[in-house]
Amino acid sequence: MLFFSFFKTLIDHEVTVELKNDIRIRGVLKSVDQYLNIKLDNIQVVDELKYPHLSAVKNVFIRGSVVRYVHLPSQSVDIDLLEDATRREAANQAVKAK
Amino acid sequence: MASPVGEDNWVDYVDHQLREATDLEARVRVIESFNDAVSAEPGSIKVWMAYCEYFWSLYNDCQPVSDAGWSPEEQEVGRSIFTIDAALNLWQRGYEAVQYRLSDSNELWDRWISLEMELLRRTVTEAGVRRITQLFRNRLTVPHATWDRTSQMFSTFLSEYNRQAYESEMEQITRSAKNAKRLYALRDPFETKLSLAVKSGDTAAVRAEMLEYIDWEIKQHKGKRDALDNFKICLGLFSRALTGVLASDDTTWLNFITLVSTSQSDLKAGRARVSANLVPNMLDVLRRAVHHIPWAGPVWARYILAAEEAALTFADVERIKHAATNSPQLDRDGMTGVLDMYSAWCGYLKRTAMNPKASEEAVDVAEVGLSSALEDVKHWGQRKYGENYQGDPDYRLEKILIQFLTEKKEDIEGARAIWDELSQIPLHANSYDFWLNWYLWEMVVFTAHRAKLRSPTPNTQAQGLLVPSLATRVFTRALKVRTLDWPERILQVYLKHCNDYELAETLREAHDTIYKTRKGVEKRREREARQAAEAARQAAAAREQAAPADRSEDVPMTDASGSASPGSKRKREPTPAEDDAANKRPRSETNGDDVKRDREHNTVFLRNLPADATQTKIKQFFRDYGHVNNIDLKKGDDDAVALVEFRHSDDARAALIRDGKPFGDRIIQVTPAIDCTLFVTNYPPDADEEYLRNLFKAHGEIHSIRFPSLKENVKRRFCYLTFRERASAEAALKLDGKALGGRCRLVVKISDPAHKQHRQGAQEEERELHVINIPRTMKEDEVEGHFTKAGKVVSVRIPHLGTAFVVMQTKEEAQEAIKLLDKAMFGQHPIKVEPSMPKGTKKKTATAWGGAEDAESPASTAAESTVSSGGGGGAARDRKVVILGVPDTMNEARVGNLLKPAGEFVKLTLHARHGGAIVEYKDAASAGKAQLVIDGLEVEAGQKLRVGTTEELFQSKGEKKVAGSDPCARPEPEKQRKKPPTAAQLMPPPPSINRPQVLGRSKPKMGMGTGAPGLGVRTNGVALVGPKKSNADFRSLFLGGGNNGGGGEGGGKVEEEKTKENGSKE
Repeated sequence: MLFFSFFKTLIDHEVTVELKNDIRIRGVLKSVDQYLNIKLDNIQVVDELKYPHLSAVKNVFIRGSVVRYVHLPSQSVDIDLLEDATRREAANQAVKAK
Repeated sequence: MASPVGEDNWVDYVDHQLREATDLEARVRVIESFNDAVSAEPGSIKVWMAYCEYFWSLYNDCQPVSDAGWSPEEQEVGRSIFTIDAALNLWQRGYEAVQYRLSDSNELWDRWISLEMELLRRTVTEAGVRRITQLFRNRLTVPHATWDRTSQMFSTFLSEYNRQAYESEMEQITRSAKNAKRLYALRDPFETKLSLAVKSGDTAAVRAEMLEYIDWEIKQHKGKRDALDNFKICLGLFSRALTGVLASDDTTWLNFITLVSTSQSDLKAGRARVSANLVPNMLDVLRRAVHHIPWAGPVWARYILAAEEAALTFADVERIKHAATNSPQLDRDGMTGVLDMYSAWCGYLKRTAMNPKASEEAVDVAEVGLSSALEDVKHWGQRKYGENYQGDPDYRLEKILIQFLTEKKEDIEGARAIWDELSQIPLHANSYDFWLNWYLWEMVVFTAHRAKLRSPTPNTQAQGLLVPSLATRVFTRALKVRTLDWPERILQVYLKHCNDYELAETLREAHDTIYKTRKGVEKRREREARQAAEAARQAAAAREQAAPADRSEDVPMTDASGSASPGSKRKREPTPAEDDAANKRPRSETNGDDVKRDREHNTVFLRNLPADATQTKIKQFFRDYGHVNNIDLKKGDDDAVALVEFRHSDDARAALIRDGKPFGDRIIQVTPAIDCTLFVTNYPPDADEEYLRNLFKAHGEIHSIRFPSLKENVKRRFCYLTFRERASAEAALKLDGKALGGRCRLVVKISDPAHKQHRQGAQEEERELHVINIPRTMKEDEVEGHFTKAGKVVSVRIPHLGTAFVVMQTKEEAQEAIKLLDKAMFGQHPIKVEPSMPKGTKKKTATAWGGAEDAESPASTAAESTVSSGGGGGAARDRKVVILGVPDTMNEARVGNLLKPAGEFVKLTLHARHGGAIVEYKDAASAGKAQLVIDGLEVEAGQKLRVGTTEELFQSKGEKKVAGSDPCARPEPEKQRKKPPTAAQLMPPPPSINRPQVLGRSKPKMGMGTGAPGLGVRTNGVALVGPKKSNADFRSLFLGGGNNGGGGEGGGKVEEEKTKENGSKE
């Protein structure tokens, strides 16, 4: 749930999603769900020359399972909040592991 | 020669002697007497002053210039004895002995220093100046009352003899004396009060002040800071007290002795903060103590003990004992002192004899000594009290003798004879404790005996089963005593004993005896209870007359065995009907259970439990007293209190018998918890436990606050608040009707299911009608007009189109309306009119609106918006956060308060039945932030909130709070598979594949890059079988990924590995 919640805080921010087939797509994050499927708006492929077939596409839905990385805009990440949540999550995991 | 006691007596005594001393020999004898005096009263300034002065005068007298009329030969000899060095030394000794007497040590010092200065004046030497400077330095670092004067003297001295060093010396002194001044400043208030008291001449006041001062000083001694100085000052204070007003005060002496002895044990244990030579010798202290307070048995006992510890010879210890018995005052305060002393003596004898290395002779001496001690005490007692003397209630001497006989002499019969003799004395015979002790002794003897028998002859069968018949006999004898103070206890142990050890026949007999005795005891108890009740009634009547307003009546609960004694049942008086607050009471119909479950009368308090008590242990403890329904255990720092609920009130009453019984290593108290519980309602909706505790804590200690479950009805707002004491509960009734912030007027009542009140209102009075199928265009006033045909309409409500609730003036009119209008046409519709029934289920959800502005919200919740892009808050789905693990006792206001730290929400819907809530936020980003904050947020100890999905929420049953266990029990995974989760809006309808949820899932969460073992992994259409990744794989994954994880904010982008879902996806 941590990732889902975290990605939700980034909605309406510009992110770059790197797919497992090496395509990198930059766009405004519009929606994310519990599978971490991602909807991007106003997209632009980073290496446009290589993937001309995507140059006409304006928005995409990316299946969560094909995502390799999400590059985050550092200024829109609330580090403190994220750290707290991560710590709590880790504590929870530790309890469950017992 | 009987030596004097107390400083005044000593001074008088020596004074008398010295007046008659005319020759040298007599003078030397006087000096010896002085020596005795200072060893007897080492802290006495009077004695020291007299001594030093006398010695000084002797020194002066034997100088050739003196005109004391000594013969020249005497002067000659005298000069060799009474030298200047000896005299000054003596002053020094005297000063050292009294220097920590803060208030009056200056008398001696001033005199000494003036003599010293005089000497110096006669012959000024370098060494002399240095010596006096040194003396001043020492003096000024010791706290004392006249510090300023001493400092003044020093400064004069310096300016006279050592001007060039004046500045540096004074500066140094001031620095090093800082501590002394501070220490004295701390004590100044006491000193002032003390000197005031002394001036007023009121001895009692002086004593009181002194005692207070000593108490304070002892406390100081415990502190770590200035341990050494504090200890010295403490000793000084004691010497002041013990040579002055409190010289014959038992407590002060005991305080002093304890202080000395603790310091000595500290020394031995190596954790002392004071050096060894400071602590006075214990034996000396005790010798002085018994001189001053010869009637104090405990001091004598300590004296003997200290002598034993110091390994004095037997003869010496015996001398102490003789001194004690010869002291005419030992029995001044009754036989206690005598007994204390004798038991210490006997203990000493016993230990000498028990010592494995003890000679035969010592054993004999001990035996003779023990029995003669017993005789002596008896004679003493009879001399003092005549025939009325009953012996030691604790039979300490006898116990020692018995132990000695049993263990050393193996004279079992002799020991038994002593028990027997003791049992003849009614004082012991009436005490169950005595019988139990005897029984234990018999069992020990029996066990030892059996062990001995067993080793040489393994075949004990021949002698039949070995039974401790003598132990059994103790019980039979005990039960013959009619006036035994607690026969129930004896019966209990007797039965257990027979069960454990005895033959069937004896057991049967035991049962008979027990049955008969129990009947007798019950009668006796009943009689006693009647008497007690009678007495209580009289007392109550007297109290009633004294204060008629006070209607709270305390009828003592006798701890008699369950026998229903007429006086001990509390009669409940019906309280006058409450009329105004009645309709505010949100009682629900489930209260029907409460009558069956009468917590109020079936509950007892268990106090002073050991801190490690558990519910199971408590349950076992009450196993024989009835079924325990519930235990509410509250642990304190070193003890615990439990509220134990039984199934029946009889059980609870029976359980009271366990009052005063040992539980673990504690003696517990069992008290009824009747009327300790309050029913509290109409408090502000967001009031939580802490709020209520603050509200009520002024009236007493609160044990617990119980909130009802909101599962069936989220609108419930009441709680049961249990106080530790009944009086507190009664006091807290004052809060009834208190206005709390705005509209709420608190309702506080003693909780009693008998006073349950039903709801009142139109529906309950059957005046409300439920009308179905009215035309959709109809408004309230039209409906009202239609129903006026049947009677007067009070109100009309149209909650949604087509349905209305109409409230009529009376029940009859409502029935009339049904007759008239049911199935009749209204506009174009045949309407249905029926009495409005309470809903089968109460309201299950509650909604709260938060502070965040969002006009879009109601609309967007109603209609599922399908477009996610564009401005505004985005899809409602994205803005919602589903919270799980909300305790079912929390209402929406409290949940709302709880969520404050996560930011302002728009709307909160509490689903108490599912133990969760759905919160809507302004936009998806704030929802995400809230999610991060809320997930794992602690509500109560051990209970955490968690974020999940709507599906999870509606599948979960709501958690039953179980203390200690993980409250967030996850729903079953199988159930989750049933509903494929709705995908996000842009996604095409999911194919009908069962897909286990990945996040917010029910399975143990998997870390990054791990997959469920055994599941096929398919990435981009290619199926792989993914073995579970090890930590090493994981590391290589990270490192191989191009170091992008460790970069942090480098390059303006934080890169983050995204969870791989290969395992859990199809």
